[in-house]
Amino acid sequence: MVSALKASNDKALSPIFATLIILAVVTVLFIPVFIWATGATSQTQESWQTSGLIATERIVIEEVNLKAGTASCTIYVRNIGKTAVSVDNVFISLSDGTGTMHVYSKSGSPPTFTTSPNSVIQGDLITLTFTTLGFTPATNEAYTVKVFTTRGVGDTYQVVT
Amino acid sequence: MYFGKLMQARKGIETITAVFMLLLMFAALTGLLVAFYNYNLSAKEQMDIEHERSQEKIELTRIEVNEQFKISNVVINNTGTIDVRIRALYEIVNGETKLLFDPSNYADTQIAPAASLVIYIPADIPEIPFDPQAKIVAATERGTKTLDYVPTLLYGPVQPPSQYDPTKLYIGPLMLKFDDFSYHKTNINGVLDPTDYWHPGWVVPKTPQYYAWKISVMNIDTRNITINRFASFNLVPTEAPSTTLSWYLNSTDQTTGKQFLQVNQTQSVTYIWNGPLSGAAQKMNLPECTCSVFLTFFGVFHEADGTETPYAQTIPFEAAVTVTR
Repeated sequence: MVSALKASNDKALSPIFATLIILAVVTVLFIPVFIWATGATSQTQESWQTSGLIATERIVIEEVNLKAGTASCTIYVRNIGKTAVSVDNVFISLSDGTGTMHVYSKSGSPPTFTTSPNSVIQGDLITLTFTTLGFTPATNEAYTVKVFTTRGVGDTYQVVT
Repeated sequence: MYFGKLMQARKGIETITAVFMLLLMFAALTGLLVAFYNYNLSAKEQMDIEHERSQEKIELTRIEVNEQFKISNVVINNTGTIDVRIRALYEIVNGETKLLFDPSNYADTQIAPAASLVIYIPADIPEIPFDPQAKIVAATERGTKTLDYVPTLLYGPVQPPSQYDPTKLYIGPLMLKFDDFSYHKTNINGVLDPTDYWHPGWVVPKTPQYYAWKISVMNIDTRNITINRFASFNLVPTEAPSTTLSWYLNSTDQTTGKQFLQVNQTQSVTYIWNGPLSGAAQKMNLPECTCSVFLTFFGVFHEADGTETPYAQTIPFEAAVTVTR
């Protein structure tokens, strides 16, 4: 009789235990699958998010103070996009394509120009100051100035010295 | 025995797996859709920005100066079809660009379409002296700009004569006497060299480096004119027009820097200085070249009722000056 009772008790408890154990095992097995799957999609998501940021990032070079015979320069850049921007690179070269392209980087070591402020929101102005350009602009030359943000969005300006 | 029990419940595995798969698919698709939607929204926002920029247009229409001939205000018209906000004023003098200030820091600079705005120069900004060669630039927060010359904004554009007579060599109230044009050596302080005399001005040697220029003009208007210290004689090399060299008026009244030109009188006008009443003679640093000559005059008309009205005139000298060794 005792053994019959034991048998009936085993049968009553095992379906619940079995279900819980299966649930636990399947959940544990699913965790790496879930991580892998979300990781794979998150790259695509990040790519679109970055593209979205770049799509709304827009700057214009408002004025450039580049004068013949003066080896310093000031560039005024306005953020007209929705995204806050920081300027990272500036290229200055002769517009006719001859001569050296002068490359300036704020993140270089040491930085070759300073910005004030570091980052600007839509509608605000950022001032780039070059205390020394490393060359002296010649008289009656057209120079092309290109400014790029940290995400690679840029604008071009031509100035005649 | 337990393994056997577990295997008996294997039908539950299918259900749970299906639920997890659904959750996984739903999470991944939702994430992708949200990211894609955000990207599309960003692209649309950028298109909106470009569309707004294309509707934006502003125009500098006037500046005013105070008694000290410092710029006191600037007037800007919104000639576009969308509201604009002025965010920067620049001045360009001799190729040097300077940010003057952001007007929106001092007042609301929003301008409705077809409306205009007067921007007063704030007291805490360094004074902006009138410079006949300066340009003023205004910019909006969407990066749209407008640029104009200070004299044009102050005196208005030079109007063509209403009745042009090709037999008379003038455009405006001052008529140039073309055959009376000469130069004279000076020292660095603008003092005429007593050993020299007035030479015909058509060909000038490159050295010595300091010259005074003299021309004769006749006031053929019906009103007397007073020209001021900003009147200048400009040499523009034909090969390099941006290296313009200007000599400023050596006025008959040295204290005010003005010269009175009476109706129907011919008078000599002398140019010596490198800036308005600067006290330093202009240095001839042009290489050998041929130059066009432009004369610019600024001043006032003396009206019959005793009032004064602004006067400005440019005379493109129909001659060339050759600089030789």
